[in-house]
Amino acid sequence: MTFVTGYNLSQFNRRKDGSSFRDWASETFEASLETSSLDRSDIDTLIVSSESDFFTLQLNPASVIADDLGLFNVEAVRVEGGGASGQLAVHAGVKSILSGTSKHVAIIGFDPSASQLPSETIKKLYSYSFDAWTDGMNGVSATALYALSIQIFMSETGLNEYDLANLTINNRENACLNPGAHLKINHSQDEILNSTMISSPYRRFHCSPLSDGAASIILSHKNYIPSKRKTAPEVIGIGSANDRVNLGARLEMGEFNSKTISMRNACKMADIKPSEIGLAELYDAYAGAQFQAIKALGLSSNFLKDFRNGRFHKEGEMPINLSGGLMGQGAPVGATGVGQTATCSMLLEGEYHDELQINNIPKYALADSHGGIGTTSATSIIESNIN
Amino acid sequence: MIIKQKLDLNYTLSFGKMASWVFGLSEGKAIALKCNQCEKSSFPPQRICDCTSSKNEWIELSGKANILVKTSGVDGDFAIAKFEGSDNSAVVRLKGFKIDEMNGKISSCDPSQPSLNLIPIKSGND
Repeated sequence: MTFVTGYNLSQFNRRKDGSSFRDWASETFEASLETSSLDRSDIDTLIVSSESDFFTLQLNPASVIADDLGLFNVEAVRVEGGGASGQLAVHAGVKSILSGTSKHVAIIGFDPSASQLPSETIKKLYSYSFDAWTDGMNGVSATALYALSIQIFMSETGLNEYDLANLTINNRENACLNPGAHLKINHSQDEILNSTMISSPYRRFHCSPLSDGAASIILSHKNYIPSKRKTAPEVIGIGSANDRVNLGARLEMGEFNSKTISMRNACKMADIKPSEIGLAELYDAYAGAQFQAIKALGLSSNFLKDFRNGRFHKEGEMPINLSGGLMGQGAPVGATGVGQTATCSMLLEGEYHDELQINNIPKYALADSHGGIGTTSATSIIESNIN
Repeated sequence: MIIKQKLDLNYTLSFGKMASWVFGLSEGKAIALKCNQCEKSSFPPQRICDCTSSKNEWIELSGKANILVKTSGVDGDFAIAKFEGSDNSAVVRLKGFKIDEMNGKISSCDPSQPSLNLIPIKSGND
């Protein structure tokens, strides 16, 4: 019913060229509009995703972005759910199409997470994306909360520091082949294991960077797909769920249980099983978070064995984060979820970057994000339409 | 072109029902919510209990806690700790803990900077 007719990601990096988030949003929208072969007058609804007005210094960003894009007399709204903002914006777009409200929805995610504020300020703001009256007041960083959770996960699963290092190497190797990626680094294991300890066991190189950037997709109702876009992939399932915001209030503090429920809901709507997913873009804010996601989403019956055997590698049976993920491609928060869906769509249509495009295109791809520490999860399943 | 702009925000925060919790932190007291239905206690307090009841009352815990897991590094020292008498756990800032110390008690904080801090319980100091 809902097809991804347009997609684009801007460069994710730390901008030093004097450009603004409004420039990136405009550029990525124009590019996705061109992919879709639609005209701006075809767009009924604009949904923007940006994590925080503190980053942009712009309240009601949907109003100014709509103006910049030349979208007039349309519904223009903003969706926010921390790190899940972009994926939740995709969901809002799908619901708009399914409800019959829109024929074509433009979804633009962006954030100037790197260049507009000092990194220490961003870090402090991020600490308020947990419970600001408990964890936020303690001054606990996002890295420290993720570190506490992954320690429990490691003790329960046997995941070790070499696995964290090897995942970091994998994602950044993929990023080296992605022209739009922020951190194109060929790490050695020693380099990672000896990098600065931020919050044990997380070291500097286990963390995703603060990035600037934007991403966009155009969703179209099946009855209004442009004739040139007959191979556009379809969003066949969406799911979202939350968990207790305080890590200590959860029964399983090492698990991302909201993802399990989110995935169950998405699979039910798509009428598929997790084992049918052929590639995935996951929210690797930290190296361990990708393992926690793989397990919670049910993408493997033995995630550690599968990882060590290369199943999730770019040449593996089920590649994960071919883009480089947040750790390699970068993390302009509002853009990440939209970018994941755009990346999956390109891969399913055979239109991704030459050195990362897989030849045996699978039937289904998964895009999954979360806000907080697996607190707000949002999952989308996309089906290829090339055969 | 770039310009520098500074934004100063002076918030006046009100905590409503949660004021008891925040006031307790400044006094070095562990103030928890006890569910009137299932009798479970939560610290940090949960407005709605896991049993979904919203009927609860404030109680004071001993303030002693057992550390479940710690993290340290340039971001500071933090832990998940379970306070005596609480059915959930709390993320706490650690102050003055050695690597093998796993028991602590809540300490008071600056009322203008409320924070859940844990200091070690030394032998003969509890």
